[in-house]
Amino acid sequence: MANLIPERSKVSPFFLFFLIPGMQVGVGVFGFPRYLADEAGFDSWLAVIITGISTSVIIWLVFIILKRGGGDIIEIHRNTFGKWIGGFISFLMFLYLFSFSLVILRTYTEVIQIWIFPDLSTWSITLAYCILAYYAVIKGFRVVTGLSIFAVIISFLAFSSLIGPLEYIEVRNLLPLLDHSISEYLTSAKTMVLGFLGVKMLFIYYPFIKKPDKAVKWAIGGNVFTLVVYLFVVLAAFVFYSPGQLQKTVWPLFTMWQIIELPFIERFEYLAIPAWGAVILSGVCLALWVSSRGFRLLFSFNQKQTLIVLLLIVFSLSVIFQTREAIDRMNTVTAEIGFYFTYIYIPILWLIQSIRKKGSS
Amino acid sequence: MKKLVILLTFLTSACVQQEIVDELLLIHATGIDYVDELNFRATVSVPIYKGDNGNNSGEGVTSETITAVGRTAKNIRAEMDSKSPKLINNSKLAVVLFNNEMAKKGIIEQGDTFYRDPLVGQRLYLGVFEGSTNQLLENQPSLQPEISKYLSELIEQNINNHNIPKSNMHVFVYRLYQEGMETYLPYLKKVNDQVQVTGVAIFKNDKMVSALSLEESIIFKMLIENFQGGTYEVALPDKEFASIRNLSAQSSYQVEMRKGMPEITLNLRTKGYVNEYSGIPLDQKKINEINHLLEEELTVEISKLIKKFQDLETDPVGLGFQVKTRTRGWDEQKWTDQYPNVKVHVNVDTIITHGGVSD
Repeated sequence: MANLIPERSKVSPFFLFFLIPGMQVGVGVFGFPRYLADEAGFDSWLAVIITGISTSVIIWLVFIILKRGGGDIIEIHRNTFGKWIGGFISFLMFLYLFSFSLVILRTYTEVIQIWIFPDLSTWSITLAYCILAYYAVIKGFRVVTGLSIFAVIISFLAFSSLIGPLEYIEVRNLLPLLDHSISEYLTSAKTMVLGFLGVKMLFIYYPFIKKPDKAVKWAIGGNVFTLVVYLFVVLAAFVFYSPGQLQKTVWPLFTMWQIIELPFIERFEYLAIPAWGAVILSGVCLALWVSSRGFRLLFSFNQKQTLIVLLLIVFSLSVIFQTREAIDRMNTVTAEIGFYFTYIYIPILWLIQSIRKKGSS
Repeated sequence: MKKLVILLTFLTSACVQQEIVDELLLIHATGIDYVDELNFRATVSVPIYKGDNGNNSGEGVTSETITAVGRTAKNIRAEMDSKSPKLINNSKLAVVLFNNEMAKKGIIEQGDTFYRDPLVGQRLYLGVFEGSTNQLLENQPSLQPEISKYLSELIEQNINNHNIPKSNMHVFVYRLYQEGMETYLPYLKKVNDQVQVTGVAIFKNDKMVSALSLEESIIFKMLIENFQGGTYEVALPDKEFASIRNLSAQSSYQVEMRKGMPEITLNLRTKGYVNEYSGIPLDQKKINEINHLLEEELTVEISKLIKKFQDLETDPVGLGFQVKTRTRGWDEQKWTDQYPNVKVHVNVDTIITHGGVSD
């Protein structure tokens, strides 16, 4: 299957450095310090490192699995679990990857509605995004990759703005270090999973990478970049907020931006939140491209028609989710599924594959 | 198809209510007064621009007020909307003053309303005003035609000149929710028809319990933040005095546990030069004497201030925070019980660098 992709649609392995964070750094970054602190308090920055490192291991496993299976996840599933079960697992996986586009887009829409345009209706933002996403995804993988480069650059600029709140930091907040039990760190690490998801998309776009065996270092590099960004944000939040204050702040990142006052613009977040739109677009497009391609390969659909159906689903579900609570639950459920899919299923798949390989030789 | 897509993108993006600056009433200051157990009165001050009359002296601006009484911020807002010809908007809010009666009853609800509103920035100044904020905002007893600007500049100036510690929405909320720390706000008063910052209001949780004078405020500031560029006046024997300029202060804490009771040592290092001295001559001997007296006076004043806080059972210095960050498994309740009896040793180390440019 991998051989069928024309050379001109492929990208160099270097771009994995952007593709991985382009999916990971989405909307989770706005609010995660608060959820993270729930368990292990202000020690939980350690959890970011735990999750980041374990995700790197998962990426490495994904590359091994794909290399053994010839780069086609549907084929791998079919060989491992048989035609029907394998196909069903592939289907679930694509469905799950597709749900990303909904989670990201709906959460961002909520942010826009709360911070910038309180009376803007959900459907109009979603529609504008769906049209944009259609426009990008239909042009193929290289365009989607281009968007993720934008996303990484913009997110990097936005995070460097956190130097602004330095005036009010209290480093003592982080003390005493390591004052929690191991189980609390692990629970925190699990909360962090939502921020590192998206590595499974590798299963789909792996065939689009030139010289895939050289790509693993770029993929892990991208993951480490995400890790550093998250670590920076979470440390900034922990030295800036007091514990009780953080619990009261829905989006710690924005409230930190609120303290930044520039000579030419009084309120920085009105600049940063719209700029974030590009980061969101990259995530949405990547998720849509991956899932539409997955469904196309699985059911031999036409990718263009699949994409339109998927967009219609994103659009109608976005409008259905109305309250913060529903959106929060959607986020939590996706994170939960993602946790089992990524950190439990992938090692199991790898194990089964190893055993079968041994058996056959 | 491509053109249609682009066209659609533009068509779907213009369906919100417009907010044109000319057609909004931008609130610059809000005052909140206590009415009775259930209700409070909010007064908002909005600038009225009279158009350009050819100069930039600010004469084109005056302010007007809208007042409403209610139980929640929401029904106050509804009442204000009914009294206003234009849409009221919070996005330029710079100062919120609570009257002292209100502050004593607790301001968490009203404070939360502002913290929750994404339109309100974190650099908003909160303050406590002795008297009716309604009269203050309506009568505008200030040098500037626009009272709200005057108030925010007044507070800002006092913070920058190191009369009072740093304060804004973020600092207030940070300290309010920090364990082992209490919050404070600037304290304002009308003296001889002029509004002044007269010190710092000290809180216990969200209720004001005491107000510090300006002299106490600068000592308080030395305890909670590092700064430079302050001024301090030392009283010398024989009714002489000396004023120390460019005073910098750096405090650090040490905690020791003795039989389960924390003992705190506070080390304060200050540095400055003598700028004004009522007697003559000012030689090195005299400077050393001033230095010694300054050290003694600061030690006494700091101990007095900490004793005062302990008697009030409030901890705005954040001694509990210092203990918390040095103890594993810190217990807030236990600390609250211990706090009034905790021993605090004060070490002050001052350096006076020189006595000015004339001998």
